[in-house]
Amino acid sequence: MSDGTALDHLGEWTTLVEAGPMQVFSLLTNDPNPIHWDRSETQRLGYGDRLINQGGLNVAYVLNAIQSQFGTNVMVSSATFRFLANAFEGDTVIAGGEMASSEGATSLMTWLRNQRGDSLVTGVVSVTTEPTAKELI
Amino acid sequence: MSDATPAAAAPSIDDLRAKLVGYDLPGGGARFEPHEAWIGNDAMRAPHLPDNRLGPGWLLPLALRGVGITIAELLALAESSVDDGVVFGELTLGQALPVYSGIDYSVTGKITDIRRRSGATLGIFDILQFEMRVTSAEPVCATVGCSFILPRRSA
Repeated sequence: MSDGTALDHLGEWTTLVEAGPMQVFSLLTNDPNPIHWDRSETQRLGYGDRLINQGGLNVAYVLNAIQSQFGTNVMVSSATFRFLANAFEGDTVIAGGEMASSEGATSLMTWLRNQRGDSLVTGVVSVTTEPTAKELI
Repeated sequence: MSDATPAAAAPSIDDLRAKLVGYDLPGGGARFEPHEAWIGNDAMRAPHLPDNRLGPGWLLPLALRGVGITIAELLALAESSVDDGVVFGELTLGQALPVYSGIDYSVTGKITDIRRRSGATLGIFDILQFEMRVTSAEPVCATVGCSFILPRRSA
């Protein structure tokens, strides 16, 4: 992945997928897709009777894992996420990844999995950290 | 899935490409107030950051808020609808500067591609790709690219 630098694991970050946050995220993004708030629609579309988490929330969980590792002043200089499967209401999802640090930037191969180990999201992410005000003094 | 509404009959991909590739999205302004950031951070399970700073999970909501077209309208341009079972395909992020609540941003956007594929699970589907650029008074803060998978009933 990089120039002989140490490979390490991103600390795992876990959460329970719930309906309330999906409703908030639908409002924040003006997302009209009813699979995030209407269980009769998930049934009608053949997904069963549980709501489906937004892709944006799934990615946010991966980014939370990155923030937990690198601190809150981290910036994603580049990232590509692929959505492989759905996270459903009631699922426990785990974000994590592997990283290779090098001077100036850190590259990560990230993932989000459910409680069965199914891969839901994968992402290649490069991060940098913005100096805090304290560090600039 | 027998009782599900069938996906829309597929319009000509050539016609869609001619109409959509390079199409400028309306764009506009985007701003999240600090109280929205607080509530949204809770929804994303994200940390509350000092100085009204928004974490990287906010880049997509910020871009979507300012791009000047709703997801429903965007899908309608591609002759699709959320009722067809549209799902996210890919998301790209690139951040050059921190972003904050309580600050006005400008967003521009463009449809960059639509292409037709088929697979065992979805059958025929289109991949609609668009990119958004978030700027402040200073240079570009972030770029956000999205692709949606649009199931089609037949070619």
